[in-house]
Amino acid sequence: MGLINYSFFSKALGMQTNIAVVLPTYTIGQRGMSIEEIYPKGRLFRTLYVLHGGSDDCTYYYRNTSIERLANEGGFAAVMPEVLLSFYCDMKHGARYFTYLSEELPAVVQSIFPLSEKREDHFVVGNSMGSHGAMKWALRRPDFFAAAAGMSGVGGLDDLGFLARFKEAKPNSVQNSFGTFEQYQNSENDLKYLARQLAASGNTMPRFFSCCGTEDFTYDGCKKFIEFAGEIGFEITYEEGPGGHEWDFWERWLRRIVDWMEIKHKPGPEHRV
Amino acid sequence: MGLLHFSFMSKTLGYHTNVYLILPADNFSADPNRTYTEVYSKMEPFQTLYLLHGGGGNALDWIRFTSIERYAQEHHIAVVMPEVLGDSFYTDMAHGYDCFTYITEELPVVMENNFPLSAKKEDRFVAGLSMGGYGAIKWAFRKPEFFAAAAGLSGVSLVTDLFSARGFAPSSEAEENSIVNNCFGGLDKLDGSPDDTKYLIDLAVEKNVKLPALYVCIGTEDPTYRFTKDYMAYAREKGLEITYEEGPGKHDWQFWDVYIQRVLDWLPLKK
Repeated sequence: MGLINYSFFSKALGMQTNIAVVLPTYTIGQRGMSIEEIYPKGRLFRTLYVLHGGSDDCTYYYRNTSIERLANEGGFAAVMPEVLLSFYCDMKHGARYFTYLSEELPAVVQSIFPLSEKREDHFVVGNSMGSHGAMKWALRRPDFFAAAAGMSGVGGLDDLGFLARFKEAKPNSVQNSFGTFEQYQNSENDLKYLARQLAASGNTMPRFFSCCGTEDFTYDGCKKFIEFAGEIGFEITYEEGPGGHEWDFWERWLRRIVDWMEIKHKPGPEHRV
Repeated sequence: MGLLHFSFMSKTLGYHTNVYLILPADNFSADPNRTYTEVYSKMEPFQTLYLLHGGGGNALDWIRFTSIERYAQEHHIAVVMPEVLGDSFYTDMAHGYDCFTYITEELPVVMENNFPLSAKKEDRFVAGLSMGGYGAIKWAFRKPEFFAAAAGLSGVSLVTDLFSARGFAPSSEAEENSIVNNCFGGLDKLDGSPDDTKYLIDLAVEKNVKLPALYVCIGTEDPTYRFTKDYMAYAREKGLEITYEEGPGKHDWQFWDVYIQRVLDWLPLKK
């Protein structure tokens, strides 16, 4: 199993940033294979982008879940960026994290690592703030993803209980990311707005998935989004189970989501260089 | 472009090992109107320097104790820094791990398969310090078709001499668990083996092997100074061409931080 930590200068962010990448590499089970068979020339991996939640960083998934083992078993790569508390926005007051995420990051990782450039090979998942990021990215770039999944946080910010944060006198990360609540509504950062636009567009859609723990504080907000999706004809799979806003829940559901996405190793016909 | 840490399971070693990789950055400001795809997809596979640590060291040494990332950026070259057991002398150890096989047969396949590194001989180079200098020169002699150039800093010697009574022979009570015994199986087994730098010179001359360009340097205050001088004298006597430099300095990072820049200047780089 291979784990990469990569620090580089991002053009979009104008600063150094870190990513973690899991690449399937040799395991004991491949003992009988030659080095050349284990690392065939021209092999390209399917890619799962994994987005962290608020207050976490690019190391958090491999520290708190078995993402490395999942990726190795499934023969896919996992790419974990980090975005501080930006909600994966081009921030009203701050750096351009959505541009970084959606334009620069895929170009960087596809140029450096053996990753497929095909839509059918791209997947994204996130928890909490990362679920907002995963859904937003796939809704705005439906041409880039086969499937997207959000755990514990797919919904409207008002439904999820963020109105109070918008009203605080001292500017906080929600305000710095989205601006005022009015600026957020019907903007490129509003999942309901984006879902309505995409459903109406008739464009090819990625498959969407949302899940939440029944003890999670975002539970009602997640449910409301699913009701809303039903009303506007936006297709999304929803599942729930016992658990709170915690890694014990995300660990279990990450495994479920990888199964649901059907990311299986398939050697690509493309060849690098 | 950046610094990359890679931890993976080596088939040869049988355990998880670390590699650091420096990738030089694109010059974003050269044409600010390019898209991200344009900037990154035009990246040619990089010329690559395999850079080996010394005795007791690991993959992080060069990054911690020199400014190698800045020098790599200036020379537009990727740098691969692997690690082997600190007292393995880059050998397939008599008692221990197959470090030489890992470094020379597995590592390049893994790196060229997973990262944008050129797989052409003219784009591959190796250098190392102390034990890594020995490793670099040995790798170049044993796989001459793999490299365009190789450099040994403060570690190139006739190893049978280095480990003899006149050099750094183990004391008798430590002999069984000594470097010489664990790595080579004893001084007598080292003599005339593919780990013997003198034998490698003889073999290359006898078979008229086309070696990569070679570079050796040593600090005049280095305790191994005379061993490098002896190596150079033997190589010259045999008619081998080796670029040689010496200067004030000890067996320390102050010397290597300066001389790795001289190595980079010496390498046949495109940019």
